[in-house]
Amino acid sequence: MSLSFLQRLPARGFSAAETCLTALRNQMTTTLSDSRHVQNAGYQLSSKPKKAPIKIRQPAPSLLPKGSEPKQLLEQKLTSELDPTGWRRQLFQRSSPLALRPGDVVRVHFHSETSHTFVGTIMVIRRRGLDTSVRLRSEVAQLGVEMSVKVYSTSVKNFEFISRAVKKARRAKLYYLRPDEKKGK
Amino acid sequence: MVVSRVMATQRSALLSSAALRRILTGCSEFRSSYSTSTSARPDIPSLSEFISSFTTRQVEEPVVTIPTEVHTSITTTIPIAPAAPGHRRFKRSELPLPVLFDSPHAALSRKQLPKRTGTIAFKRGMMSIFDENGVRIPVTILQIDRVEVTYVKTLDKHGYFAVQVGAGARHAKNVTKPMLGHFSKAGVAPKKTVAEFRVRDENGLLPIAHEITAEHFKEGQFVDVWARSKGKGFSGVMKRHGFSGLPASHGVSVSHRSAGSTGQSQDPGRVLKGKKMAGRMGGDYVTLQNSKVVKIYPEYGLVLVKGPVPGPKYAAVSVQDAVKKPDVE
Repeated sequence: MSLSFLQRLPARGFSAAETCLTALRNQMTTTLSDSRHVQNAGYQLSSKPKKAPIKIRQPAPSLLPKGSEPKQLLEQKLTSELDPTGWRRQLFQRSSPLALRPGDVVRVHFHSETSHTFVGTIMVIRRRGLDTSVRLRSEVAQLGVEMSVKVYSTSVKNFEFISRAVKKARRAKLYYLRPDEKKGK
Repeated sequence: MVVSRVMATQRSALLSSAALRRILTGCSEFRSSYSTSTSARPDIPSLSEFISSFTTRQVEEPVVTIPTEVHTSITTTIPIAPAAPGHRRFKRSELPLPVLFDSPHAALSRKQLPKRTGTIAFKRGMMSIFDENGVRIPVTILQIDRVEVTYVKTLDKHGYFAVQVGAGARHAKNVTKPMLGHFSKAGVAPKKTVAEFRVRDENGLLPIAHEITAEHFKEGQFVDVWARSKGKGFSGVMKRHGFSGLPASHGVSVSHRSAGSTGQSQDPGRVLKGKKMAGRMGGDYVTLQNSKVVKIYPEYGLVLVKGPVPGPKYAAVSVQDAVKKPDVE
C-alpha cells in the first residue's frame, strides 16, 4: 500500500486495522476486476468439483476383414466348395479356352435316379457367379423341350460336350430357335 | 367401576358404560381437568377423556397373508411377485383378492414370449446357396457384429423381463455423453444401435457385457425377423394399396392412376375414416415370422436366413427365436 493511497482514504475515524482491511479489500477488488479471467469480484470463488471423465472402451475388431463384403467372401468360399476341380469355371467363364458358347450341343448328367441326362443346344448362358444357369433346347418326340440347369447345383454331375455350333451364333441369347407360333395359325 | 380407555375398532366411538350413563341421565358431572389425583374418583371421566373417547380412532391393521399362488378364471396358476415398490403401474393391492383377468400380472402370464434373447444383425444383401439335394435356396446374409448385452430389465424393477443389446461400433466422438455413460457403465465400447428383446422369465436373462455371437442360433431353427421396411416416399394409391386404377384409354382423362370414387352420396355425406388414399409408404416395422436359419458361419459372424428380410442393405434387423415354434435351448 502506497502513501498516496492512504492519503486518499476518507477522513473519518477509522482504526488502523479497519483502514488496512478496507484498503486490502479495495485492492483485491481492483485486482480481481482488472483480471481478464474472473468476472465476479469481491469474493473468493470456490472451485467446482470436476466430474470423473467417462471411461470409454475401445471396440473389438470386426470378424470380417476390413474392406470386405460378406457376399463376396461367401461366394468365393462356396465356389471353391462346390467346384473344387474348377471344371464349371472352365466351361462357363467367358474368358476360358474351353468355354461353352451358345449354339453348342451338350449333354447334362444328373445325380438323380429318375432323370439321368438331358441333351440339347445351348440357347442361353446366364452368368451370375454361383447362380450361373444354362438353358438347353431339344426336340424330344417331336415336342420342343427347354431345360434350365443351375450349373453349381449339387444335383448336376457333369456337362458332356458333344459338338460345337456349325456356324458361330451372332447372338448371345438364341431365342429365335423357338418356333414362330403365329406362322401356324 | 373403572373407566376403561376404549379403542375404537371400526371407526366408531364406543363409549364407556359410565360415560354413556352420564349422557343418558343428563349428568354433566365431570372430573375437573385440573385435578391430578385420578385415584380419587376413577369412575368419573374427565371432560377431555370424554371428548377424546369420541375422537380417538385407532384402527388395528388386519394381518394379511399374501398367498404365493392364486387360481383365477384362467386354468393356470400364476405365481404372484411381491408388490414392486418402484413401479407404480404394477403395484398390487395387499389384500388377498384374486388376480383380475384384466391386470398387468395376468397379461404378463398370458403373453407368448420366447425363452431366449434375440440379437441385432446387419442386413448385408442376398445370395443363393444349394442344399445337399441340389435345391437352390435364396438367402439373406445377416451379420452379427460385436453384439453385447448393455442392460437387463427385471420384473421387480421394470415390470417385465428383457435383455438390452448393442451392436456394431461407433466412434466415441459421435456418441452423445448420456449414451457414452450408459455404455461405460455396462463395460462395453460405444455401439451403433441398441435394442431390447423381451424374454419369458429370468432364465432368459444374460449377464451385462456378455457377447452374443452367430452361434447363438442353430442351423435349421426358426426365427422371427423384424426391421423398418424400405421407405417408398409419398406413393400413390396403386402402389400403396394395390388399386387397379382406371383404363389407359376410352376417354379417361388425366386420372389413370387415381383412386376413383372415395365414397357414397348424401349418406354418409363424408369420406369415412381410414379411407385408403395416397401417402407415405414404407419406413415402418415389418415382422417376418418363422424364417428358417439355413447356414451359420461363426468365423465371420454371419447367419444366412431363408428368403427376404425387411429393410434396406446395411440396416439393423432384430432376430429372435420364433414365438410360434418350439423353444430352442
